[in-house]
Amino acid sequence: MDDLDSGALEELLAALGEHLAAAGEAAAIVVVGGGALSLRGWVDGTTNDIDVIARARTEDGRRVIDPPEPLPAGLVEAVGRVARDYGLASDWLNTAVAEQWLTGLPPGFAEEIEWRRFGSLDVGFAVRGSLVALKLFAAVDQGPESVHFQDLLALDPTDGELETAADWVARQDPAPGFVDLVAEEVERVREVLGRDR
Amino acid sequence: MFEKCSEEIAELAGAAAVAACWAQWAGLGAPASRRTAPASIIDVEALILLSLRVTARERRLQDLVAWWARVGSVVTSVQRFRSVAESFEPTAEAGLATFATLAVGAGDRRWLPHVGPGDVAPPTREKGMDAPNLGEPCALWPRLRAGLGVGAKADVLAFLLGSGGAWASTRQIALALGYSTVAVRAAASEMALARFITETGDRPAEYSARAASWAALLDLGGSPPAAPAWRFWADVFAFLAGALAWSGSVSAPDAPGPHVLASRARDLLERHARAFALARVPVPEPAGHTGLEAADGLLSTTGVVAEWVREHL
Repeated sequence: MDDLDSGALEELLAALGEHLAAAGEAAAIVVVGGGALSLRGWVDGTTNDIDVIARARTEDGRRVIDPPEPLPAGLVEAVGRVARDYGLASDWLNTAVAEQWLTGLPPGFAEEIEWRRFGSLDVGFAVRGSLVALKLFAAVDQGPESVHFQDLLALDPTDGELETAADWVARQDPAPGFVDLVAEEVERVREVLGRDR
Repeated sequence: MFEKCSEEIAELAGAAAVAACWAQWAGLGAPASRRTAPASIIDVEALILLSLRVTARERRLQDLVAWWARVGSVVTSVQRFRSVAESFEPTAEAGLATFATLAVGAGDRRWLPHVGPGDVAPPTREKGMDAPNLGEPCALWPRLRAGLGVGAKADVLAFLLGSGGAWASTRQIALALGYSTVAVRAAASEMALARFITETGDRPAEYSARAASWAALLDLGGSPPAAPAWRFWADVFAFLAGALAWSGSVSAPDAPGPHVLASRARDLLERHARAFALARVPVPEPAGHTGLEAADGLLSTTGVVAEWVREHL
């Protein structure tokens, strides 16, 4: 089971939530990447993993997010069980995007998360603007042949969303010329989407 | 979601378990058991545990367990009972406590540390013979214990004889008996020293028994003389008990969700896969059923195991 579509992802998250409930535990995570796009119905493609960018806890009645590592032990155990049960790689749910915390999350990321419940697992989804920003950053990094560029096109971002995203992405890397790379990538997106200046 | 599947599993596993219990109790000379003695080596500890697991379906099996506690507890191993009981989760402790209570009530104080909290009363009537019948070839294992003492040596010999003279590693013997490899290695090496069995010079060592010679000595019958086959009943019976427990958990008031149930079905399939392979039970590969399909895998495996039990008793 390598190509996970939205139906498969829903099933896997439901399985995680059930395992947590059976163990008397609960967890809350925030997901981004292709898995999040697929679960939100914004892309039709498949993915082979779910990227967890944050853990969440409740403080004074409000959700607060933290870097995802380490994931709660009960969740790690449930992820392993689901990997075995569905024949998935052990890192089908991973925290590889955790390093984004080093340079910061897109503006408004923490305040605009939309939550869904899967049994004892709460899953937060970044809003469109945040996902566009993260996808643009990844597309600049990995180029127009990458799945991130394709995901960005599938999101069909407005010019306003691209502009906001580009402002944030340009501040992620102080290297000379990075700002120009971001601008080029934005232009490439606009061109493929058939936008006129 | 799995109600129909669990009903079929309960029927298949329950019927196979009850049939196996009656057949094996008959092989030990149990009262009210007119069935033909089985052709394979009886595993007393596994038989007791399975019988206790299915008393709701066949209440008379409790009487046979009580009878054995009275006449056969001396050839029943406390240590192995505890070891085998662990694979009969979630009823392991209850099974051990029930039999221990019966055995202590019958005067065997070795079981005293395992007596339950007094929720099981020994039967008031003493039915059946005052001694088990260990004359049938299928009773070879308890017979060896009666002759050599209850311990790993008699058990290793029973396994090797039931394997028809085939070579077996310490790990294989340990898996079959439910002992640690350390206990098996110690027992087997001393028996090899005594030339009761043969040891290879290789490492890891393998062991074999001259099955035909032993069968002739023990007057087990056959031409040429042969011991009954070893069938890994502890694992097979634990699987049947596990399938029944899984089935019960589906309809329990606090039943977990379908993904957890399916995952537990896969646990059961994987836990016994190695023993099924050694016993050559032609079960489907657990990996062939992903996700929720594991419940179907448990159903098809239970069907295969139930059929295999009928054919190999």
